[in-house]
Amino acid sequence: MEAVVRLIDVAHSKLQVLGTLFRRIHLGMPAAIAMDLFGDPATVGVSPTEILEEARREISLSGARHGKTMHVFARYVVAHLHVQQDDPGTHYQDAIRFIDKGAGEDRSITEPTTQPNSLLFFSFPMDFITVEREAKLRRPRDPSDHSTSCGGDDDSPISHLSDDVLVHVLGFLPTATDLMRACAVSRWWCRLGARVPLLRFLCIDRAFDRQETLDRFVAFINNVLTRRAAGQSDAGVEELTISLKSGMSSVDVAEVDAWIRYGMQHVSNTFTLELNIPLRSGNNSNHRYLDDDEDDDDDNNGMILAELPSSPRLKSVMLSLSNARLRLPTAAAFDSLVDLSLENVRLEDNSIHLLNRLLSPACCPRLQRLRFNKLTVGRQVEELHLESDELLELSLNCISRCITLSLQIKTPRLRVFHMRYTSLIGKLTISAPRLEEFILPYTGRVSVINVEDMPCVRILEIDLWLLGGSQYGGYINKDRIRLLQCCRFLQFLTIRLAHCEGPTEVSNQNQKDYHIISLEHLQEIKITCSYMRNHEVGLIKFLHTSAPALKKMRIAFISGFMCSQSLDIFFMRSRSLEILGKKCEEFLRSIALGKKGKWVFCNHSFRMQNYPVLEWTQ
Amino acid sequence: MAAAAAEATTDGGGKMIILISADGKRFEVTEAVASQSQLISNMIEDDCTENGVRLPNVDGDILTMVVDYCNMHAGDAAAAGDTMKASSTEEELKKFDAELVQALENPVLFKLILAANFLNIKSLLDMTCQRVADMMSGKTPEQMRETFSIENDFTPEEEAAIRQENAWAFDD
Repeated sequence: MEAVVRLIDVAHSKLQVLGTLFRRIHLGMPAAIAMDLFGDPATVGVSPTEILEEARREISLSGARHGKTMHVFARYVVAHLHVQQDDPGTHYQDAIRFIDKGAGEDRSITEPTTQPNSLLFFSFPMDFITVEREAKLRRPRDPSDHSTSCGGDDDSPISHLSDDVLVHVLGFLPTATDLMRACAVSRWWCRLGARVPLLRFLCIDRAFDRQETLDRFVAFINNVLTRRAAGQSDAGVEELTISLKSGMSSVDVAEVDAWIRYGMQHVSNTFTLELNIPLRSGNNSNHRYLDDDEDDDDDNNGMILAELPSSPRLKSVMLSLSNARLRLPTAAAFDSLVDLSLENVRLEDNSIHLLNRLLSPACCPRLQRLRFNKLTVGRQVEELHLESDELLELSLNCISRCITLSLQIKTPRLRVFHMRYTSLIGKLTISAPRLEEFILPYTGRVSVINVEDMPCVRILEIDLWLLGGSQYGGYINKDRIRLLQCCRFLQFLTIRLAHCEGPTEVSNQNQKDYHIISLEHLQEIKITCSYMRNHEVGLIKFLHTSAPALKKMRIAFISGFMCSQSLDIFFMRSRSLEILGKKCEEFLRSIALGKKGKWVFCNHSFRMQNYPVLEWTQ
Repeated sequence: MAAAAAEATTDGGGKMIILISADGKRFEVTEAVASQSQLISNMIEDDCTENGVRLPNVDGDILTMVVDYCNMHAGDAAAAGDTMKASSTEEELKKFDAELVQALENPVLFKLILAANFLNIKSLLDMTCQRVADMMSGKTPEQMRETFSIENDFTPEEEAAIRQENAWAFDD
């Protein structure tokens, strides 16, 4: 008996040092160094087989289960007990057999109350075992036994899943409503539900048409958040989404402030707040308006939210705020913020310096993706600066209200820049040598564009304004031509020929300007236009000449009131798409192009199905 | 099916690894295929796969699915450089995944989750867990208990308290 105890001691100490070995490797120590540091206890009087036998007992008793154990142990036996003369496979197979047997016995052994801690390391590479053990101790009746093969003779196969896996499952539930229902299934699920790090308050199936419905949903959100905030640290929220998007009921602006505060302070990774419902101040339904906004019809233009609090942890913030005013922070910093998206937000008048501050590296040093959509800034002439060494993607859509915005972008790593429907930009200065995708339609007549060389741009989308009297063949904004010139390696070009019936301008530009650019890599051009005039002819010829490698040119005639110089508008309108198409085809075929090719009808997208679309290919 | 899957990868190059299920079925896969399992990937690093990898808690039929899955997805990383190829197989993969998961009966699904968790294959684990979550979503607690054969161990008072706390979630 004494001998057996000694054997167990030896085996146990071996397992302990083995555990240390695991841990070291797990923590990243190179295997060779870990092996050198491996303190090998005396092996006197212990044969490898006996060690294995004892190890098997230990292992089966403690319920360690991972395949890793056997492999490493077999290797250990081979390497450190000098049994190379034997076939290592034999020991390996022994280990497998013992452990299989042990695993079988494990079912019949009553739950051990004390377990050697050293064996916890056998959970490597997964860290679940500690939690599972706690779970087992907490629910002795639970039939789940992870050390055995996942037999299906139990009534409730879901209880075979470990706590962590089930928490993972619950994290995939689409809404917090589902999660709270799952919490009402059993005590076990209830406990696990409180550990799910993702909370998504969405209401998919109900609209908030009645105030009472919305109030109850708000109470639900606040209850859950309060419980989480009061809970232990492991119940922290990594991702919080609150989305109230439909209905006529209003939410108190104080609630919104509280959610923003909660999100910024308690959430560790991703915070999304999407509101598309009216806001109100206090419990009465009188909306608070500012008196200088008489020309705005948005419901929430007067609602003022508190200053955005700082957050050192959040990586991603998305705020869509029903056109409420958001006070930008004067001192806060967002040290880990990678993604920032502001939508349907108004900034206070004279706050552009705060926006500049927010976008500065000092405030958001890690910002990689910035997205503004429907951002209303003050009315004054403003200057927005964006200088960042980290920024990769920038999207500025529908920035409105300010009379002229001067935009300065200096972003050495920027890859993608989208700016749509931002017609009030007076001046755009951009230095982005790594830019690959430059999307700039519906930006009106940006009067000055200062660009540096952008040799990486492959995709470009711009507006062109064809101005001038009909006798001139048009004149294209000089800046846009320069932009094209800066994108020498362009492959895909999309042009929106802006609808313009402005006064006849005398072009101060020589028509020869059309021939000075060279786009040798340009393969595909898509044009949408409204007219069939000499302007368009000139442009199409010009693009053809500038792009010797062109393979495709697709032109869509999208104006609702198609017209040409020779045909009456009403005549065109009254004819079917087919006749319209014929006209377009004739028009295009009449253009003498330098290269041979043919025009055919194509209709690839549903959006364009009511318009004639023709494609030229070689 | 398993044999075919193994054959399909033999021309993929790289060292072959043998996986052995609890019931002794053997599956030969390339290292690239097997490495999608973080567990096996670690073993490969530690050089302890030469005698085959015994997986005593994964049955043969489950391992067949896992191997099929890994074979299908092994191209993922390899084709990452070739965007055209990646995008053309993406739909196939989605279809394959959807069919794999949709077809599963409850007990098999849970076995697959256990295997994915044990082998530490994150994408397979996520996909199978998502499937279980899909089965829960939109259901009342009673329906969930029924679906997953779970006993209600709350006292009536406890249950009432939980329902009251989250009244919104229990509207009918």
